[in-house]
Amino acid sequence: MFATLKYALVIALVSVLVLFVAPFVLFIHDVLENPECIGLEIRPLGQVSEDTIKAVLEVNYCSEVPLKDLKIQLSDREIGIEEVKAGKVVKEVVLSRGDLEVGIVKVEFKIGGLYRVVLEYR
Amino acid sequence: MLKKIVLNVILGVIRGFVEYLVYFRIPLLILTDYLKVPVTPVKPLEVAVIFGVFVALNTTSSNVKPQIGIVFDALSSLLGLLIVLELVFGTMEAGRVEVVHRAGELQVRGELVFRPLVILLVGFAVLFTIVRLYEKIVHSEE
Repeated sequence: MFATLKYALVIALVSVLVLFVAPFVLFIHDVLENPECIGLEIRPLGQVSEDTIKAVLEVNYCSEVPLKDLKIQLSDREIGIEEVKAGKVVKEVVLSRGDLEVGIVKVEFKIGGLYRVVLEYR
Repeated sequence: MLKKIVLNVILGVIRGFVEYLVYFRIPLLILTDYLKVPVTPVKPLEVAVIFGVFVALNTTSSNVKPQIGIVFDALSSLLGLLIVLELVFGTMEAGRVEVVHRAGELQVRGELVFRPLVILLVGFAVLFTIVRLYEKIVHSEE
């Protein structure tokens, strides 16, 4: 009885581990294969007022593992995208001149919704 | 009788060695070699003490009545869990790795948080411990 229970637990552990680790391994594999797998670009479109500018945020992503809760921190503005799948995501945003001058200072996302990654530029 | 004691001692040493590998050596290897986490070097004396305690607890557990052996089994499992938790919470702040890279004036700080995986592993370790102890209790009653 206990031998069966232990085998069942080992099988459950291995299955859950594979499910947990697979997104991370796939993501690392894809990023190492293609170092430009994640691309972030902010392009100004036009002026809205004296201090604000309409811009487009473009996220290019190559991996099949989705990125969840993507947050891009500019000078004092945070842009959030719920989910990024392989391909291109475009979002129109209104930014201050200061935001554009300083650029991206922090990027945060969760690999497959499980592993949080934070990148801070100073 | 003597043969049984010698066999129990050998069994205890093997079990102690396996627990030493599972709870200490393998997690340490994963941390340092695969995850490249900077871990404070463990002194050879500390390694010897950890190994010795695992072997002693398991040898004692194999040589006493099952009802008493359960206590030593529980102590051995708790020690193992404590070592894993110390490695994970102490060196990685509960499943968090941080890397700082400096290139000229630009400094990039990278942080990877993998708490769900740590919680999963600790949860399964507790589950295995409970099943093992329950098995001992059932066998001791038979």
